[in-house]
Amino acid sequence: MGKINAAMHLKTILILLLLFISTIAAAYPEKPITFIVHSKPGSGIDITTRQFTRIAAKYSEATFVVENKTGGSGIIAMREVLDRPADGYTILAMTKSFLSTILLSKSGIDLDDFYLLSCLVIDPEVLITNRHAEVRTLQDIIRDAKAKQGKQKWLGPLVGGVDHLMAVKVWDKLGIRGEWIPFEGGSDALAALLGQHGVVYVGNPVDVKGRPDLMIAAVSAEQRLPEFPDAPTFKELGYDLSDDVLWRGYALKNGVPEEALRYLEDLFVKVGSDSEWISFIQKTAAHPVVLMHDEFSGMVEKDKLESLKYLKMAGILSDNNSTAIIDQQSAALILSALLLIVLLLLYIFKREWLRGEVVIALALTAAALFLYTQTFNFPQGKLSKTAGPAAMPRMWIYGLLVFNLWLILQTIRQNRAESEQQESNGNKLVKAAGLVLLTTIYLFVVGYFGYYLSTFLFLVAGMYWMAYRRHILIFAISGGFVLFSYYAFQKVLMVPLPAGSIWF
Amino acid sequence: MEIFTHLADGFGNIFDLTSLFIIAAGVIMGILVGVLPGLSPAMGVALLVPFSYGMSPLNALILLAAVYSAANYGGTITAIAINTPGTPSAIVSTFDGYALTKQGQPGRALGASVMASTVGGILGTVVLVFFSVPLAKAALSFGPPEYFALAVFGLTIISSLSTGNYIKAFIATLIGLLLNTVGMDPFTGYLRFTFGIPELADGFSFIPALIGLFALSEIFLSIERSDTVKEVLKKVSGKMPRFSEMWKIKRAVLQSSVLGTLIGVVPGAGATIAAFIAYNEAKRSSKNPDQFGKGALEGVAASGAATSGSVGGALVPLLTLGIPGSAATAVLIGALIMHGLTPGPELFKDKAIIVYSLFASLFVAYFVMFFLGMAGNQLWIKIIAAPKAVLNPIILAIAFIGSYSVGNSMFDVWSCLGFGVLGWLLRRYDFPTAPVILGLILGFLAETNFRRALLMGDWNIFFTRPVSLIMLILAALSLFWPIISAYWKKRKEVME
Repeated sequence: MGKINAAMHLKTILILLLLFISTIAAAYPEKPITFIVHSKPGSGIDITTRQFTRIAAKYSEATFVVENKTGGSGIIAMREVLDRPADGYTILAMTKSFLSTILLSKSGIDLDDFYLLSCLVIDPEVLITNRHAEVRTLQDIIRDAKAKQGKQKWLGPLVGGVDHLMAVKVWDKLGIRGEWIPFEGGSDALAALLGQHGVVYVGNPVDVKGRPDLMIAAVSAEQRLPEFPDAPTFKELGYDLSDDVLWRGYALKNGVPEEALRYLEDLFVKVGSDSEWISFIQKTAAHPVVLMHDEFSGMVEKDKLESLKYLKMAGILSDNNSTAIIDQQSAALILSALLLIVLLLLYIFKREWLRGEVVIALALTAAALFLYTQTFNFPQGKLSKTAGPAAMPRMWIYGLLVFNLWLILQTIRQNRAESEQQESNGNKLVKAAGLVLLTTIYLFVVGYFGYYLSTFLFLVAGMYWMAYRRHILIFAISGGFVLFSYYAFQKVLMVPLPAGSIWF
Repeated sequence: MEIFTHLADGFGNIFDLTSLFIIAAGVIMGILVGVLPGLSPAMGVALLVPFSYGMSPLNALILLAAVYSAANYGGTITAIAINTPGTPSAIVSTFDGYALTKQGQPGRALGASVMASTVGGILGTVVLVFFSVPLAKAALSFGPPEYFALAVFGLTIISSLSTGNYIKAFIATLIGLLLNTVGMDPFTGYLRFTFGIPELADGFSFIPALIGLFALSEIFLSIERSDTVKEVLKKVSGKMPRFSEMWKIKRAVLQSSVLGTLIGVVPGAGATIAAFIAYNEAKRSSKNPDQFGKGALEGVAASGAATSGSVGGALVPLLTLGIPGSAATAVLIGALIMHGLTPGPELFKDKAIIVYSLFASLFVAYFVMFFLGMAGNQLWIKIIAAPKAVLNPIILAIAFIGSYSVGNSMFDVWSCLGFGVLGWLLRRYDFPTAPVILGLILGFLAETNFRRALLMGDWNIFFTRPVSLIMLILAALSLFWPIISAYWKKRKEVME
């Protein structure tokens, strides 16, 4: 790897020495340090981070917590970090995929909002083929791609993700075209490659580990990988691709105090050089590195420009932002007005038709029509020749419209024959609706008083509302439940429960 | 037979106090994880990964496998007891299990669930031990058209799920399918129907929807419909099902176990679809199909057996190909790698003793699960007997934790409440909520594979591939089965 060199090691040692002196008097950390991970427990970055915290405990007195804030390909996690104070107690686990997320989402979050602390893992990008297929080597791929004229199937995860952009880059550099077939995750795409439903998979060396049916066709690195000496690099085959890596690193919100920053930098250097850490990363067929702020930022900046270029080349980002054809408010307004008119007319003229089924069917029809207007804003064509993003939702909407109409007609027909159905008891309806309201209040209150106090109050209030009157039992059960949830979730399973802004 | 010697070695390897203790602890944790809604088997395994750091690779593996196998059973407990599926696949257990509880016979349902889960799990493991290599090869032939056909086949189950009005069941399915399209389009990255809400980028989380549509709607509806306020509790019987009763439904148990295992092998299909399909088939082959949904022991058993069977199935592609067959096995792969074991064909070659010890530990785990489950049933029955006035607020509080722990997000908790109110409204007017869930589960599988298949070829692709064609024909048959069987019945009556 070109990124690790002797100078860096020297610098690392110097930083270590300097940091050691400067941290002696530091008071940080006095609270648990939380790592925010954007994917589910058990994912690559989650396991890496949990392993990091385990090894970090050797070098630090602080407690470490890993919190998974999933969703939006990292948007939720980034927002979570930005919403918390820049005190150095919240660390964002980052991967290269965040670049696409930032570039594609209109969330207002930017890379500049973060201080890139350290990158500890880099994983070279490789092309993987099926050993038993006809197309195995890079030369095979190029020949096959030219023969299929852009119909060659490339498998991998999400469109616009790291692997897709790598594929676009490879097509660009090799002068070929392929068809990107996206799967839910890397392993689904790998299964498809094993089943020969496609030709090339874009991934990392870990993907062929333990899978003798797969082979690496080309590696984007300066030199061959020590673990896979038979896999050629793009460079030796004559193509200009040599430093594409999937990196995993850690970032902070901008503005963290110097003292905390020094402490963390010191800790990351120590863990990054720990032998147990290094052997763990090597087990995942990735490269352990210690890139601190300057080098990390340089790499990320370069990758960001490149991502932008290939997102545009893939047609995912375009320069002209098309505005919405139908804006949401007016569509919703028109449809709700129509619904109200229909209900009003029914109420005045055909009151016997106005039964629960009909109201639900009408409301669903209005909702379906509203969503239908939204589908006109969906991108059409180009990326998805046959069935675009609007195809399936529209099919379900048509179905919903047909069956709603059918239901309304059926209800009206039955209504003539049948007499009025039994009325539900008003008192009990109030009882049920009251519990809904109580739950709603509970959810609001959690934001202020946190989980424990709110839950206790909710349980007490709920049992009273349900007309349970054994006061001591009510308090005992409510308290018992809160204690149980504390021990089971916070202590044993280490699932954090929400804290409030006023109370914990 | 080489397999038998290996297996004997495996049993020998785990018959010591430490391993047995680890298996028992794993089973207990698994049942607990299953019982708590929101903690899916996958999350349970993930949460225990840090505990396994200090263990030997084998002990770590048997701990996690025990958690995984027991969690699938644990989910059926709350489904039967309080209509709250503890895991997604346990939805199907609510249909007949909760009906039996309402009739005052939770013991029969819980007992049948333990027994069927044990049989399903053991059969699944047997299949795993003996047929994993050919099965894994077959699973790989599943391409996008086949997955699409599987999803369509799954959707036809609504015709069997709906006991009353078909139109309402179809509307409910379509609600689920449409809700499923909310979020990022996987093919273009475009955000569909998110209205600027960042949490919606990944769509509605499945577990909050599940808890809302089942548990919350049940609470609100039961308050409105029954006299819960001063309800004199129906006598809750702790009676277990008799052996003769179980013997009578052996066919449903065996058939569901095998179906569950086979569907579990297909990566991405999973326990939930397995349970739905097994339930459908059990109903179709039953002598009393009209009892399904009203408290048929066969229905409870089919769901439990299929869910447990799918565990062994999901381990097939994991161990033979290194491809996870389910969310939980995806976590297992991560844990294995951390312990220096790379799942896949090489593991069988180089570390055969570990693989066969794992198999042996699964057999032991299911026996432990059987005894713990039977013993635990008395405890669950006590909880069911608690007054509704106490139970309902507590279920709401559990729903809170369950929804929150999915992604540590208050948005999920709010959407759970939203789904609860939606479910209540729907059920007030006799729209079933199970099809909504079916739509939510299968919508994604159907859409992505439909579009993926079309990217790979044209429309013919669905009909020119034998597996896809057969499944589509089966789907059509299954959809019209109620009509066909009604016609046959009529003809028979005429003949007589």
